[in-house]
Amino acid sequence: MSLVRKSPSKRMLRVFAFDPSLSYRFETLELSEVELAINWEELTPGPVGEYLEVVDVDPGSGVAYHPVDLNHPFIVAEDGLSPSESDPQFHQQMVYAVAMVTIRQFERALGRVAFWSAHRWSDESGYADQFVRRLRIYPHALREQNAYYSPQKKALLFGYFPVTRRDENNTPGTMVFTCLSHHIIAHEVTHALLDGVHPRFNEPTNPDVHAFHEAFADLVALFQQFSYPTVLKNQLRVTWGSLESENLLSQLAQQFGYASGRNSALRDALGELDPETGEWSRKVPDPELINKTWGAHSRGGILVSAVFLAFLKVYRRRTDDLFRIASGNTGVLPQRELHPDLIERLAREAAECAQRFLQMCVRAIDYCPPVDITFGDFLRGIVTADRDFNPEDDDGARVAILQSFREWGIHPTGLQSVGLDSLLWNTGEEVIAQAGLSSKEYSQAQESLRRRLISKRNKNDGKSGYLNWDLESDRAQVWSNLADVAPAFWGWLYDFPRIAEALNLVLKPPVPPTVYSKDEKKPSVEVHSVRVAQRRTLEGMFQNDIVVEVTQRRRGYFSREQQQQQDKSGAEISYREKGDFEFRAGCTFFLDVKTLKLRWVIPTAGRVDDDFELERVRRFLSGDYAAGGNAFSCRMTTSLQDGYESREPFALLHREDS
Amino acid sequence: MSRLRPQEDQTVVRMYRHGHGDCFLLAFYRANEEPFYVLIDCGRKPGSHDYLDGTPSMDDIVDNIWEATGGTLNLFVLTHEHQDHVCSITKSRFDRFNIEKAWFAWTEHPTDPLAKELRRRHKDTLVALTHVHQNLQAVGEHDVRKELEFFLGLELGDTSDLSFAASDPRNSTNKKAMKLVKEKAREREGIEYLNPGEVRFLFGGAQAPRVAVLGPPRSQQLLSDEDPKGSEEFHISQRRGLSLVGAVDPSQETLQPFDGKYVACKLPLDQQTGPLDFLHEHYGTGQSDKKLSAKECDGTEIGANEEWRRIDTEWLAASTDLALKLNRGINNTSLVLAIRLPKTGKVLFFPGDAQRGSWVSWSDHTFDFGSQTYTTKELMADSVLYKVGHHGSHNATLDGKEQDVYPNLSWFAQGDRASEFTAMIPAVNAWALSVPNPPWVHPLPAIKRALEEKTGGKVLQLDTGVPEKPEAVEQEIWDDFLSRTEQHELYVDLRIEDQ
Repeated sequence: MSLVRKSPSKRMLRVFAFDPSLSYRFETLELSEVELAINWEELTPGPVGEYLEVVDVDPGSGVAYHPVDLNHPFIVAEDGLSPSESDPQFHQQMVYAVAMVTIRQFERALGRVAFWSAHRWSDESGYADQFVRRLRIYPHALREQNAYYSPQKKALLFGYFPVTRRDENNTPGTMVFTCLSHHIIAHEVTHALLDGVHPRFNEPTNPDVHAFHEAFADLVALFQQFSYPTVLKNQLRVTWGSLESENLLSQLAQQFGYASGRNSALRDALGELDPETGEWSRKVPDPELINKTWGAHSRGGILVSAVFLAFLKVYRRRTDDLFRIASGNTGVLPQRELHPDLIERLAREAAECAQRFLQMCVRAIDYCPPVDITFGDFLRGIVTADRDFNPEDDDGARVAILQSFREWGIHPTGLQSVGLDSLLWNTGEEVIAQAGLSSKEYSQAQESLRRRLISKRNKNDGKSGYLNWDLESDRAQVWSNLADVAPAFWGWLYDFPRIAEALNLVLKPPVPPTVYSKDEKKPSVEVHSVRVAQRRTLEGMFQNDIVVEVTQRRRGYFSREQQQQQDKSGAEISYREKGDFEFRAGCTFFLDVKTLKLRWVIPTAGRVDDDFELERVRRFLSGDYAAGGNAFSCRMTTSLQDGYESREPFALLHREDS
Repeated sequence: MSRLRPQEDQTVVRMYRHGHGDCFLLAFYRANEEPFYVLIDCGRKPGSHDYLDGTPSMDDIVDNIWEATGGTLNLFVLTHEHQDHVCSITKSRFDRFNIEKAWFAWTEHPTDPLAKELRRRHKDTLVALTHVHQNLQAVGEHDVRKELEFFLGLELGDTSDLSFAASDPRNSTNKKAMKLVKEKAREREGIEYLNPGEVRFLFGGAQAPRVAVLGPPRSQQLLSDEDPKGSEEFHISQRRGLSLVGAVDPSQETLQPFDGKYVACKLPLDQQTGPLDFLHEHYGTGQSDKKLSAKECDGTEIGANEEWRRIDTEWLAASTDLALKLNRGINNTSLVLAIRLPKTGKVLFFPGDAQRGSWVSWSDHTFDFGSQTYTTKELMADSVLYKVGHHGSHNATLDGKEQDVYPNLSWFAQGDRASEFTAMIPAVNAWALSVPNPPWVHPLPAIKRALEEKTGGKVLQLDTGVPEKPEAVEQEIWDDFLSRTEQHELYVDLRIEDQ
């Protein structure tokens, strides 16, 4: 009988810390490489694992490269291939490793396994929703200064380009590979993860939607780099422990930025270069900026700065005592290098604090409306999610965020006051009370939902119900179980129209005829996502929720007259008639897994019959803000009628700001 | 139809309603002489006239120019070399005209070194784009190819034979049009290449209108208005083979970014003799495993080598960005003219399709009008007519405040001029929105609204003509505006008094 060994828990893989540029400079040479501990999983060459498949075809060069076998004993023995720009197999290893770290962050924060967005398509026979197990990564897909996530292909495409500039930061003829930038990888995979949670965040219906996608991806990339102790300690030394002056940790994509001639990193959450003098200076919060900045990246940059400055506030507060001790309570630090022990302690605080902010941001995405996200919604999401996780706010992170957002002019719309409490989304009790439901009706509704959910479970032999899963489960099975319970909610909402109304849905007449209806003027409701979140709060309690997103659709027309005509006529509209654009509204709601009580209700700005909201979306789509356009298009879906689909929303975004 | 003869101290600006593009006839009063006729541009996007009432033919339009001018164009101004500004200038239509003089931007100058360099760059990019187009032609139907064709149409004037145009862009429809005007003008008073900062008399005599030249800027960087930091990519020979442009060039060997030992196989995979299992399993060749209907697939997991996940042509999509940059580069070579009427000092503002890069350069100059010098801000403040740049698109009319340091919409029409200020948008909106993938938003609603606000509703758009009076506007002002406009199927006239 042979000895059976348990598989190891981690696989160590070496990567460039930020990107190869740190290895070009003497001062940063020691920081250029880090080792990542990746959860062990079975890998085949590619690498191809449970979540990712790296496929290295390079159509621009007309070749494909050998896939790396990370199980090869020589590679395992050396903790992966050593960082190299000239070895495409190292590139494959690096995109895999950094993407896996990012995925893990998500799973930890959200308390469930990560899914990529489903492959949705249709033909004459009907609609298909298919499970996509692996995000595909093409490390050498493009010959341009770009990298993007393709929602259509469920793939990340990275570009490479030759440097053409000659200056102190660049050598002409050298190559820049975007797949070797830690930030770019983390940023792109975050786009994909966010798309897996909120596929409708691809549909811009206000200037914040795409900006949010960009900002969120940047935030994840930024906070993730605080988990590299060597870099963190070095930068704490450089900034005298404050992280408030120019430093690598607030920047994104250094090599890319320099190679594209910016004289700086691609983005910087903390400061900016004066275009005239080239001097770095700290950004000063400007509440007016949000009202005149429309490009997705620059607008997203406002959100990134708001969160990052809040992070610094909390970090400062957490380390005040250390600085007092180190300065002998004078507030003046000694004029030599900070003590290594102090650096050590500061690094621990900074890393924990960054981790806290990262988790806080990621957790918040469950607490967002299903469509039409705004920065203000995100703020409310952060506050509500964090309240669930950490009711006391003992480190003041929520107040710091609230204050910082205010300084940058980010307000949720339609709120009377801006205290922390008023930012919470509506609780289930409030919503039920407002809807005037008696406790009897409410408990009937809960009971009915329970029966429906149980019958689903029975159908699946009782084994594979929506709750029977953990991080070890087969993701395809979990995915299909969740897909199975969606109809239960759907039927439930029709049976309890008052609950549906309380959830921002429109079921009772009069309903504008442009709202999509199933049959006989019964407005359609789409349960477009059911998720389960299992979380352990800071106090050690478990909170398990079912998160459900429901939306309704309405045909929107660019011409107001046409809209009025269609809505006034009262005549039924053919299902084939699609209008010029789709207007969606609905809500996200949380149910406690055990009691099935409504915990939170997160509605869109209006209901599907809200003409004011429809007009707002219409104006936005027809170029009202001149947001992120070019001389020809406003880069918006302007007509579904013509079958126009935005080709690669994120590719365009990444090219746009140049 | 008849001769266009302005009364004493009057100028008439005729915007032709020929399609999506520019064609403006200006008639200036001259004492004891026939009026002085200036034609600014003559082109349109093919098919755009189908969206106009009466689907005007270009021959009818040019016949109208003939009748209105008696066959003499005292000055032909070609702002820049784009289809929608020049493509209708053909020998059959214009050979009969007497073209006294032609104005071009300095960027057309045959020997100016900077102009030559710019033209070389633009030509390089254009050739690269036609190469991409050829690459995509092999693939069949393709979104990017269609989008490119629209852009190539603008640059070349005609896309009926792109492979021919690629081999020699000098023979493009646009080039031929430019050449025709040059040749005809050369027989008479000749061609003038204008530089920013210059002031020219429109015709002889101290009482003639004078024209300030605001653009195109001579600075290379501003002119390109391309990513000012990373624009050199296509102009270096070193390692060019590693860029997109290098890879599509059939005359050049595609350079590889990595050592050959890492290469598993060449693409496309289906032409491989020794197939590589990994790629066949995870990328695939030809059709995916089996074709199932959506209903059969619903709820299942996707296959490992689905066709829709491949990326064989994605890298070529970057070319549309390149095309956009080229387009912007050419737009910014637009001749930007401010025509100042002698008595009242009113200014007619014709910026071609100048975009941001050109706009921000205008205040670099002051203009010597002999007795007095004027700044750009003063000339704009005196404007009573603004020919809206680039069909009212994003970034071709700058938004801003009066105190901003760069020229913008709010600089126009100060004081008394405000009540007279009128904008003309040469755009066919319905056609532009019909451009597939993605539609062109011309004019951009945000800009149109800003113009309507600025002009008090006096926006003459090519397709819709004379607008309705906005409620808030005083009747007197509106009546004056209406009394000075005349709408016809083929054109809209605006009369401007200079007394």
